[in-house]
Amino acid sequence: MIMKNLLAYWVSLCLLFSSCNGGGSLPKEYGEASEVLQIYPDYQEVEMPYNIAPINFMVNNQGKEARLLIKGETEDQIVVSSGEDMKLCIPQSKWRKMLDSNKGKSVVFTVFVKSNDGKWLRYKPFANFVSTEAIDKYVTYRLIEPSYMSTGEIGIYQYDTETAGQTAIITNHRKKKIPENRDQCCINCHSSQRGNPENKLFYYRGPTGGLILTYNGKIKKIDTRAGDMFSGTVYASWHPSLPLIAFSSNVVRQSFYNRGKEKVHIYDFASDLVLYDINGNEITAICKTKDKQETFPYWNSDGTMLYFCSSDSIMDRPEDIVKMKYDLKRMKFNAEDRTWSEPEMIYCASKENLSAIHPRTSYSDKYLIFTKTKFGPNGYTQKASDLYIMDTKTNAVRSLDEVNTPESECYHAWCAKSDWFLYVGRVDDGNYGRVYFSHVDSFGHVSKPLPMPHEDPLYDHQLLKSYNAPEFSVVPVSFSQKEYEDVIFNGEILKAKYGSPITDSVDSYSGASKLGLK
Amino acid sequence: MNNSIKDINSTWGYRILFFGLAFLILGVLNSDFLYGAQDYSYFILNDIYFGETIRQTGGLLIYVSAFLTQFLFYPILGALMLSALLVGVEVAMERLFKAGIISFVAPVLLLFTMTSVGYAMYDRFENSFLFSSVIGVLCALLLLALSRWLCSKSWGVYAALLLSSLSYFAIGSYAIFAAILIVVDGFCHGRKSKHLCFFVGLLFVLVVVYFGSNYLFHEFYSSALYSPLPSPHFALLFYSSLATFAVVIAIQLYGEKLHRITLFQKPLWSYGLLLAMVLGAYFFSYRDANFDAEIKVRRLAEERKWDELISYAEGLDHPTRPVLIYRAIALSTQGKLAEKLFDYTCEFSKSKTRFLSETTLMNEDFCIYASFFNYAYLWSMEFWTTVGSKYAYLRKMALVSLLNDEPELARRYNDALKQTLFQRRWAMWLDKYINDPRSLYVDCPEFNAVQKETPKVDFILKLNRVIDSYRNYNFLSYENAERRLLADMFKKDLRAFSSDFRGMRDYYAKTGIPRCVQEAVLTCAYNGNPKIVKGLNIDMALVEKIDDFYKAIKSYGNPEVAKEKLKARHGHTYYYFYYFSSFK
Repeated sequence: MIMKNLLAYWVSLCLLFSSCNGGGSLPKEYGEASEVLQIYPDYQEVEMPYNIAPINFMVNNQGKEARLLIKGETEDQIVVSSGEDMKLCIPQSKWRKMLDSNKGKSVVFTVFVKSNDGKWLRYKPFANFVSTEAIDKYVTYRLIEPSYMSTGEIGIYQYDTETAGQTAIITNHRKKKIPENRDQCCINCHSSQRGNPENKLFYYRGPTGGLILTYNGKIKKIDTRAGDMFSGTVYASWHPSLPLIAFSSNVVRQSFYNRGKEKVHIYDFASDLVLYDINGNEITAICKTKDKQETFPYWNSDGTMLYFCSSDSIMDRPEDIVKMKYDLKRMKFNAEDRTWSEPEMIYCASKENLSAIHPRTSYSDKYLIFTKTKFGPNGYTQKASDLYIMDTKTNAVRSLDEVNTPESECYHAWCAKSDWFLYVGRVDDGNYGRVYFSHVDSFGHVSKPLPMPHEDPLYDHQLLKSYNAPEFSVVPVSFSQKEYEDVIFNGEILKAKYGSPITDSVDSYSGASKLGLK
Repeated sequence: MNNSIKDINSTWGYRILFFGLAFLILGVLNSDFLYGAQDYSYFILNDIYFGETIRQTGGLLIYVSAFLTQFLFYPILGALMLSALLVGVEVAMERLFKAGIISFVAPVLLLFTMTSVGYAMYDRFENSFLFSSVIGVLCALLLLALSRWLCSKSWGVYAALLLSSLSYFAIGSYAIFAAILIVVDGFCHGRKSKHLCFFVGLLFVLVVVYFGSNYLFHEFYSSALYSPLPSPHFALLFYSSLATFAVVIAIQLYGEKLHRITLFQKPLWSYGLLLAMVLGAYFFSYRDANFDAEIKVRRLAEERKWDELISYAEGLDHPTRPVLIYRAIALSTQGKLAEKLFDYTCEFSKSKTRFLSETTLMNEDFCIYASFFNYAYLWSMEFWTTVGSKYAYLRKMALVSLLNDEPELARRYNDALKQTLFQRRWAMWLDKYINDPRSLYVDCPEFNAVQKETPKVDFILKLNRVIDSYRNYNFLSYENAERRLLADMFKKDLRAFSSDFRGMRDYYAKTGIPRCVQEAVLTCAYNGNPKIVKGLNIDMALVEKIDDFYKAIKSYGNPEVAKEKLKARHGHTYYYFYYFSSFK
């Protein structure tokens, strides 16, 4: 038994180092396969940005070896061969040339498989369209296990969409190396300013942490709990041009259910909206209500409007989560005197007994994508969570059936030119979230999702962590992990001032301006 | 000529003796521990694991050691490998320092460290330490040998120092240890360059560790200095590892002198000294029968050898809570839980887990067999994230996903297990059920039972003690309600028992009341709730027996005396448990 195991193991080891060969020639004689081609990830009939990394995949049909022919409308072609692991890895330089010369055209993928009896079979080819629009060069996300209570090893990473390379922006590896140091040091919520993407923020929780803000080339650590806020800030949206960040301040909790496939629900016991002025290091209230919960602020493209979610129910106990139905609202913002209008309802999901969350307008403000789910402010763990698109001129809403599945789809984000968006889908196994890209054309048509490529096609299957809150970015993070860690572990924390009146209760939207904001 | 042959023979004689003793201690006396250390370790043959492992101080050493740790799946094989490596350390030391029998001190100390891991095994502890501790020392000695080989050249010692500093990226603190050995060697041999060597070595080490910790591995400088040694949190292991370094340096300095002192005329004395050292190491190492018993019952549960588990648990004098829980699991799979749960000793002891909760040792299994699949998944992932990746949790997550009707999720975990040397056997077993989940319930009736008893209503789990799970929720099913009764009984909460028993009367009218539940009913009656027995069909012999028990208790003034005197006749009953059980 030991020898058998060892033998199988060394075969796997050899496969590991022999996989992703590239090159090779096409079989001269072959028959036509009668069965449907099965590949992982599913890259069949998708639309691809012309600058995307090679879409390496693995053939799941039975066979000993596979070959791939990629042919564009121009004369060029790429031939790739696999090892016994059936992984087809496309050489990057050839792939880049192929996409560059086929913008706006289709490239055809033909897969040949050598069956167990040694004969080659050709599967029905599939065509992928090469979009003329590029995708943003970077995607940042957090990697985290999908269902647990305490903080494990967490990190925020930066993925290069052109090379599929991943680098760490910040991890809590340092703390986790020391077993006696069991305090929570969660890292979360990475986002950048639309107009000036070098400006970024994330949180490093725990005793030495805070809001880690990169602004105008400097890193600061800020304690954003100020005045009578019931907690620090959580979900952020940068004003596109001004030194302002809208935050929600949430008391986040999670509950675990005894049965079923939705194992955990995350919710807020309380939530309000605040505005943080970076230059003045001051927080002021936007919505401070006792009879409502507001969360997920999001600025429109010119910063004149703030979208957010609002629930008319509040939470007294965890079981109330099923009553929490969020609607989409927005408020006008006057940048000169920093005043807000009364909130305006833009989508009343509670009427359908559902919850609408994560509103995000495209950079052209033409479309707004949001997640609709059964209840609560978290769609990630609910299978019913689907993406919806709203035409902001007509307020017409439709389900994004092109991407929605029986599993959860959420955490969407637009790329800088708004012709691509990404989201996290859990269609693989219902638990681990994976990143998908989808194209939106000028008519609002959405393409079949393209799974985020990796050098090893099985990477996402082997990765025992979920992708969480991904965001596009056009520029890389300009600071190293060391520089961030210096601020986190050794930097002084700046306590934000509170610029609103400290008041115990205001039972409806306060309209911060009416309370004497600057 | 004859003398040198005799010397060689006696040297190899010591080595054979040491090898035999080390093998005995590791492979026979600590075989359960070795298996457990492997089960709570992690090595997966893929890029992700390689990348994560290599990006830490001493990453390559950890990677290689984690690979070798897989062989502890077969403790005999693992013990042979470890014993051979320990002998290897002695051979290297003898060659380098000519310290005779004294060369055995370092491997003996390593043996002591290995066998002192104990409950740290379940914690955020790298179990590959069993191999890395020996291989690391061997690497350091080899670097010293290299420096001696190079020392004939003027730059040789600097090259060796540079090499050992660079090897920091592969073997971590053992490289620092090697650099110290090289510098000390300079002093030993009175080389002219010794002081310069010292400063060059110090500079190399400081620069390399600073660079590595801050820019490459992102670790605190202090932890980068000692990794991959266990953190000072595991004080005994940390300091005994440092003591090994100190011993090697001391032998390097004084080994030859000590060798002359211990050069006994009769080799028997030398054998005696070696034997005493090894036995001393064993005597002072972590020896805890409960610790071994917990690993054993966990393994038996994993292999679903329920009868063996029950008889093993019943053979223990002072079982711990995890053993008790695993016995309860085994009884429940046999449908004998209510009948047999309290037909057991009530002399319990506590696991000496120190920093860890006992729940870490059994929660996932308990939740699986209690039909709380999400709870089982949650705990498996909780431990996975907080104490680190371990095969044991990966297997649980795969199994629970399948029981929870999520075959694709099970496949994700199972495919990871397939990339291991020996866990793949289990993965191949589960694989056929992932492809055909219904056959799992045919082949493994215990899973069919837990599947049937899954609560049919949704509720939010309260994250408290597992035993309280049943007590927190409303009526689920008769089978579950009976478990709830037993939980009340275990908690000695007679009020809750009386209340919960009301809902079970109709059920018991049809099935009959299990003996220990009858005993609990009578205990309630004797403790101020006589109405509870009204209308129940109670065994009269039992009534008489419990009556005797209460009379006897009154007659013995001292509870300890009563406990001892009544043990023979009433020992395995609920009412005896109610009065006398405690976790020491």
